[in-house]
Amino acid sequence: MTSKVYAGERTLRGSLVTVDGAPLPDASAVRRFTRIGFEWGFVGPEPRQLALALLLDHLGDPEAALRLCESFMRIVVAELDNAWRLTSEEIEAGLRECAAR
Amino acid sequence: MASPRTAAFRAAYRSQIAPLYNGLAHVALIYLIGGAALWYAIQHIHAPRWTDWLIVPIAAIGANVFEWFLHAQIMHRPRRGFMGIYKRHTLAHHQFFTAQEPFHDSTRDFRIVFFPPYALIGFLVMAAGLAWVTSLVWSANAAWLLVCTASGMYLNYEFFHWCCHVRDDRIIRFLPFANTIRRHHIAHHDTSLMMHRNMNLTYPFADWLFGTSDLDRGLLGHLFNGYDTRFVKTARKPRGSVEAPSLVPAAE
Ligand SMILES: [Zn+2]
Ligand SMILES: [Zn+2]
Repeated sequence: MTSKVYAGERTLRGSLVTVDGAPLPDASAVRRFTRIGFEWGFVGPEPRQLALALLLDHLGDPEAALRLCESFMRIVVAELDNAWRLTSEEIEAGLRECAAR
Repeated sequence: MASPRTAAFRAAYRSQIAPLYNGLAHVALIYLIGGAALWYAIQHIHAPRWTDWLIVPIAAIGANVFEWFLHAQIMHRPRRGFMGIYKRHTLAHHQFFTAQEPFHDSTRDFRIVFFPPYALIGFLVMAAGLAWVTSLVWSANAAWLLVCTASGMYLNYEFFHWCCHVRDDRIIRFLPFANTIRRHHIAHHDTSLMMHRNMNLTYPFADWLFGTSDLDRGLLGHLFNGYDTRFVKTARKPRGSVEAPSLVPAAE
């Protein structure tokens, strides 16, 4: 598996999330939790959408992404900093934390 | 010193402030409107009974909880219908001011320190609605005292928030309450606290009441804490922190 870099930043244009520098697709075809977009640092529909999108891109499996997104949101996405960067390895480590709890 | 990210955001934000914007005029307009509301309400108070005065602490506590709620649930959470407030606060004010660089440089930066004057008008309309109900169930004097308290609390809010973001603290550090809220709010600008902690901007009463303060001490300790950091709880370390140059332009 090639390692990717996911990054999030809050700007005047909104909260933007990229994967290897390109906008991260919002995964709304799998499930739409919100129409507002991605957010992080708290528990809610926007962080849930981000958790789903990150896991869909990382795992490539819509069913698994949907199943894991709630705990991944609470353990990883709700704890992200204002501006953040995660590698594929860090997402994998986050998923291991979710499984351990 | 501002990080490259904060510096880039500040430059982008300042570039989109209208050339005609005048920070002192902005503040003067807020205090003119608030002062006029206060003066007008005072003119209508005639021989209040002691029971009428009870509305003042009730309204002050109500305003404190309202300020906490608005900050925690609207200014720091994206909500449909209120996105303008969220963008202005979380996506702008908190990117412009961080715990490492919480100070404004010139009066043009007042654009991002003070609320737009229409926010005060909206607040006064809400206060007028509550005052009308108060006049029906309590008394006219209590209603006008409520308007006085609401206007006073708003002007207090704006002044204290400026006290948090002005660089020179030679006087503020000795001013009771102002020194407390300055430490409290600058800590709120720490990116690991900003979404959850220290939501009061006047007196940290609601933060103490609802357990959202970064301090571990009682009410009086909270109110008179000043710059004391001995009671600060250990904060969690956020995930994925970066302090890198902006990935995208902050403004178009
Ligand atoms: Zn502030
Ligand atoms: Zn805030």
